Amino acid sequence: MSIVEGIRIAGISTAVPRTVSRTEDYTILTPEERSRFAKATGVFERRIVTGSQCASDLAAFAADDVLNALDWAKRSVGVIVLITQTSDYPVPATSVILQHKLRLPQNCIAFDVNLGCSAFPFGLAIVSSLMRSLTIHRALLLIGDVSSRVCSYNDKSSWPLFGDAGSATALELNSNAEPMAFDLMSDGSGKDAIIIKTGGLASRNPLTRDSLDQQIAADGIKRNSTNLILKGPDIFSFAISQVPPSIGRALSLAGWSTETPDFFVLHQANKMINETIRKKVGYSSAQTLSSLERFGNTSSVSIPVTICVSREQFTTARRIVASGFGVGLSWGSVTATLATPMHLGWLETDDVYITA
Amino acid sequence: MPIEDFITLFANACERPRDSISAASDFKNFETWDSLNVLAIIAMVDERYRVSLTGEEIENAKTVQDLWDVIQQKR
Repeated sequence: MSIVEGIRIAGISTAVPRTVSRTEDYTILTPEERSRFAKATGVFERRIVTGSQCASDLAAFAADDVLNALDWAKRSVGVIVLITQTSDYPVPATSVILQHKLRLPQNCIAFDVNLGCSAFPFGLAIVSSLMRSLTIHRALLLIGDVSSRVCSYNDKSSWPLFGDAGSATALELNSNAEPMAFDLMSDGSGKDAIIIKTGGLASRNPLTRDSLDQQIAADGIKRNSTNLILKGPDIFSFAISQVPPSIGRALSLAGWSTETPDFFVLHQANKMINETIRKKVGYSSAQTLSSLERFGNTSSVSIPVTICVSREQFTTARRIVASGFGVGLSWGSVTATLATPMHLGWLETDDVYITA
Repeated sequence: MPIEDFITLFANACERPRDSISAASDFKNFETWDSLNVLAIIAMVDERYRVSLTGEEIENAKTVQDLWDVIQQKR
């Protein structure tokens, strides 16, 4: 049974860049198309990085914020896991670089996980499992992505959708914590639904001079082969058929009904997907939290973004179901109780993180 | 007739007049047909027929009839 006990979510901080990119300003679509896009996807604006800010910078600022708020000494952190698909380098793992930049101790376990939309449920399972089996009292789950830097501006199905963000979730061993129930799933047959095809020298599709040539692909979109490809219909079809059963299994493991959770926090893919899931699972709009309108699809970070943006809703203990789904295909749902006192932080910065 | 019901649902899903669509309609070549219409069709077929259409199946279907045939096969 995939139930984890004795792990408390002590705080979550989220950092976003300052620059706002509005759907209404997107030159690739006509004004009428922009309006239609915003209505259908729910995305009116999002935050995008400028200059050379990386996902790890946003995650690092979030880490400092949550550690300061909880008054956790850096030397007390035993694990950092960074979940990202936009790392600083292909090699070495960015989390190890962050161990150094964040001045964490050398006996802090650090490694990256290459997942996107399913990051939050998978991340909670991975980090809490390590904490339980290796008796590590405090850990940080870092999640960050700067999708704006990998989308082609001409790609009207992805550029106006994705936003950038980074987050840090602080976890501690606590025997009084409410359990978390997990449902975690994988299906690699869907690998082409969301993909960046060109990789490094040892990859399936190594980088060549031609890789940067803008080409019009079969879907009519102009991009180069290092840009993200998102097949909207395939993701939509997958999400509406697989996510409701996943949420159902997590609820069932937890012994919860659809009325039990205060909030269902879904990965913020787009409004159509999430509304369809809501109706199929059978929960109300009042149980829905969203960050799509002003932050777009923040990929791996969308669940922390949504929780932190809605932090005024968490002044009392709340039961949530968080469900992340997408690239891989990878998807998962987790039931959790966010109990007070809990720090929910929000920062806005365009800075590259330099050790203070 | 079931296909007539499907055509009505299809017209509603992509916000077009019912009489502008027939079984022979080459729907992807409608003026202003876009990816949002594709999503609306996937959602409608999932809700009404409990069938998951893929992007590829919609891409390969030339007419509304072709789409209906795929749905029948998958039910």
